[in-house]
Amino acid sequence: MLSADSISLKRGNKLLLDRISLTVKPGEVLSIVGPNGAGKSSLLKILCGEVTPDSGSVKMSNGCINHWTKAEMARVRAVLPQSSVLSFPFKVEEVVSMGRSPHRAYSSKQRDNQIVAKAMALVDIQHLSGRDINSLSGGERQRVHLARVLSQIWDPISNQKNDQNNNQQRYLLLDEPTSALDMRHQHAVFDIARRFALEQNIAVLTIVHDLNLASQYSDQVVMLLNGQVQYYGQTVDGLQQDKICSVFDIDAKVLQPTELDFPIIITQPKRHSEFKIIAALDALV
Amino acid sequence: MNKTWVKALMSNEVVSSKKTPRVSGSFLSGLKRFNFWTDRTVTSTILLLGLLGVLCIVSLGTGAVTISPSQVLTILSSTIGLVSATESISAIDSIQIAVLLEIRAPRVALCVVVGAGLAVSGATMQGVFRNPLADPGLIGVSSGAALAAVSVIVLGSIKLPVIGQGLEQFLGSSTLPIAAFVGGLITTFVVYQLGTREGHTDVSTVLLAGIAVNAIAAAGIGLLMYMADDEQLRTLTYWTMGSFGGANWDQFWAVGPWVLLGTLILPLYAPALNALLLGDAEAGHLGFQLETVKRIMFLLVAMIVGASVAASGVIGFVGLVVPHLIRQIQGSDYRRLIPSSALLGASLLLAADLLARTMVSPAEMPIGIITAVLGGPFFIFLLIRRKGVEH
Repeated sequence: MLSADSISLKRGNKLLLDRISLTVKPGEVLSIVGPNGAGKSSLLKILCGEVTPDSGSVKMSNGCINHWTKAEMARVRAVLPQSSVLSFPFKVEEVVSMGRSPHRAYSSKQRDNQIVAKAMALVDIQHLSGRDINSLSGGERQRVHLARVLSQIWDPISNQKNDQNNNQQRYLLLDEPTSALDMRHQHAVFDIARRFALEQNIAVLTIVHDLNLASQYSDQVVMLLNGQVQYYGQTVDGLQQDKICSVFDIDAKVLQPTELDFPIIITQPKRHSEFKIIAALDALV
Repeated sequence: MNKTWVKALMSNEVVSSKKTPRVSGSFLSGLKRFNFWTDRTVTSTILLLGLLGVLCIVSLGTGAVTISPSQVLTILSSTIGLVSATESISAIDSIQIAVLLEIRAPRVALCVVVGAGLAVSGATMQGVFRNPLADPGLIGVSSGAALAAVSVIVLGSIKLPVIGQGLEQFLGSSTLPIAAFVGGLITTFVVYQLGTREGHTDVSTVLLAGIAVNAIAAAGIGLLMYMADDEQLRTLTYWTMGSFGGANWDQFWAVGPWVLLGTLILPLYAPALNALLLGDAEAGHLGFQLETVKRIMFLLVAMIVGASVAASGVIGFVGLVVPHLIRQIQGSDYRRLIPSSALLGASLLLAADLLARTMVSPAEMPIGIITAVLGGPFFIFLLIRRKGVEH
């Protein structure tokens, strides 16, 4: 599992993150939600070892993150940053196959090609394989990079020193993976993330803005505001009206249809009486 | 494609070890498609090798003493020991043999090594800086080396104190190339240090520092040119604009190994350079030790370019244009880009040198003029074409 123990981060006098603790277990999807500037991306950077916190520690598979070598880490953990810009004409398949580069000493070329093809099919980009990545739309590009990080942790790697009888645990960290995607692909991406978690026993952590996606696909949720955790726990208990209203400074209504096992969240701007969505809903229900 | 996506999503493809027929089908076509050496790559690599071979033979045969291609091949193969010397060589003039083996061969060898080295360095710098306009000179190595060389030429005649004289006696005729090599390394080190803070190298700071240091070096060269007498000025021209006029085997053995060593090590870092293009963070997540990789890249490029300048002066445009041309043909994957750039860079410099020594024969033109005359318009052509693609 991946866990943060009371991490804090300061920049100048400003406390960007204040004693944050969380744990993602294998097979689980954890969503981090919160308004802009809440510290979500900083938290993700600390969790993946890119930034060192001022205090607190991050553990991955029970070993402190500083004790992992980058090469070891890359074989079991993939990170999808917000945007990657390539200034050179790379083909889509070439970008996706970069995800296999941590395994180049261990995997066969045949297996790598197979994984790259499968990852591309999974995120629905196989028809783009020969295209120059710079000729694609933002959403298509985002899916290319998703395929790249999926191919990075596609196979369990057999064990080294860390745990004796199992395969190494794998991790997938996503920073707003759906920001440029249409609705079909937003659902597709989260569906893939959840299937990876459930079927491959991967621990998935993702930053997401759409609360309905968080509600539908994640097991746990962390609600961040001004670098502090406002809520951390089961998604169903977290995405409640009062919490959403106070964290995001909006009006919200949470519906729980009996036939669904996740709540639906409807939002409208605060103090704008001309938006009558919630009043209308109240009348309806 | 709609359906394939749903299928991929619905089937247990992610986890199942057994493949459905559809998947194995796409696997087979996938294998073909992802084959590292695609048909186009194979064809263009063969063409590049052929071009280099032809240019070598033409270059060896062209000049004041003409040697036909078949004679070139006979002399070469008998030198290596493929053909018995006495029989085949008898028909060929001994002057021709001497000219080929002692004058032209070292020049061609040096051209090939320097051309390959410059092109590979250019490709590397473009990757490290994530900037298609980067050039090996950007980290200050060429201007630093040129400044050192020019200093030796102009200030060398001034009687130095005892230590200087002793040093000059010790180094003898290699003072100039050694000064150039060391000058290039020192300048690169300064630029690198300026861009590095707390162990982290910021490439955009390195780039700006490089521009500043290049300007300072250019000012230094300008000042020395102002101080130089006529004869020094002529020698100087060949250093600032490049020439293979002084090539001999001694020079080749002094410089070639450095360039060759760097050119052979760089391809090992192709996966790291690919990842680096995604961004620093991404490359780190893919398991590459970024700072180490950058340091090694700077060091290798400084070594290659420093040694090249020591041998032949500053030759522009090869490092900039060649990787671009290869990208147009074979794409940007560094695993192919580096070896192909080496081949094309060698060919381009051979052709430029051929022009440099035949166009105004018996005099010679600085080779940097030729590469700039060829490279400049070509680069503009690339820019226009790219503009056309984008709009």
